[in-house]
Amino acid sequence: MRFAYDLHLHSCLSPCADDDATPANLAGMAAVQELAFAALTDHNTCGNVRSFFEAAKEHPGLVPVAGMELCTSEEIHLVCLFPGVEEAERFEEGTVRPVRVPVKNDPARFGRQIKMDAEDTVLGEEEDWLIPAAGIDLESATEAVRALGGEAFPAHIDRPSYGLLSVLGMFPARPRFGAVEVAKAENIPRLVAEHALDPAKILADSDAHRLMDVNGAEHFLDLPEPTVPALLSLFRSWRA
Amino acid sequence: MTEAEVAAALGLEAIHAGEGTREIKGIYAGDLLSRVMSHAKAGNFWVTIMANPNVVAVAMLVDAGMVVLAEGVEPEPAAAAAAKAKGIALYRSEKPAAELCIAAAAAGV
Repeated sequence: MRFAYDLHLHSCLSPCADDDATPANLAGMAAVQELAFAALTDHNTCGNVRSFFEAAKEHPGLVPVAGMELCTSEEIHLVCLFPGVEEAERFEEGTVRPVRVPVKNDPARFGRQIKMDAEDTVLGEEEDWLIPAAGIDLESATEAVRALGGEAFPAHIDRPSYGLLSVLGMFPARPRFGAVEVAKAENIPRLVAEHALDPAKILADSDAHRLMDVNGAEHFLDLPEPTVPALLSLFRSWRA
Repeated sequence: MTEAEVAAALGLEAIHAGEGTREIKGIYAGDLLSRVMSHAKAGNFWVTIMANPNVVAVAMLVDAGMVVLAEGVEPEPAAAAAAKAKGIALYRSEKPAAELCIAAAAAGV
């Protein structure tokens, strides 16, 4: 069966995202758009993932996915998806938080980094500035995600900044990726031609920083069932 | 100036020295490898802070004269191994990129 997805969404915890992109609003928007899968992937944090899962319980057709958009030491954005909330939080606490650049956020300049519960109650603000590159390279980060049972893929490889191809010029020998993500589906033919990619393994996510930018049911994955294990297992099979 | 003369003049630490006799011509500084691929020229003294093994692949592609990792950056182990395997002259330095470029220019590169 084919299931609609958007595996790259930012909440109000990302400083550059709208403050009304709360976990509850994002879950609601994903449901309205009739997405089967929606992944919350804030910059260098999974701090709102638990609330996003709680909020998604209100929408029976929606499968929430626990994620993070990590900025690696090469300044490559990597979408990291996990089997569940616990693994995502373990990744943040054990792997990412210790290697964040020790710079505090300046909400007036960069935007607020708001942690919320599933009812839009503000729980607090993340003090570490979440935008700078973390001190972990692409290969180590990918291995750490996989060690937790998750899967990682390079984000928006068609963009001139923070994308794997703009930073590294070409795919590195390691790590090997199955899935890759583009910001604009119209760039897929060019990327397929230039980098010998399999078009069936290219994801088109919104990278939404505003509620209105969440994808509609436009891009689909063929899966036996709409579950996170089935999703991760598909991505694993792509890199086998 | 040859690779060996430039390395000695700037006090560079060799990760993998080339033959040392190649003439180094022109200076290029950059870290976004997609830009380096299309802008660096053959024989260049290329300064970067990118430690990924793709630096070696790009150095081969543009036929860089020598590559210097600036600002105390250590190469990823696979990058050092690739430089050796592919015969790319790879050096490192504690000095920032701008200082290395100025020193290279002053030395006559």
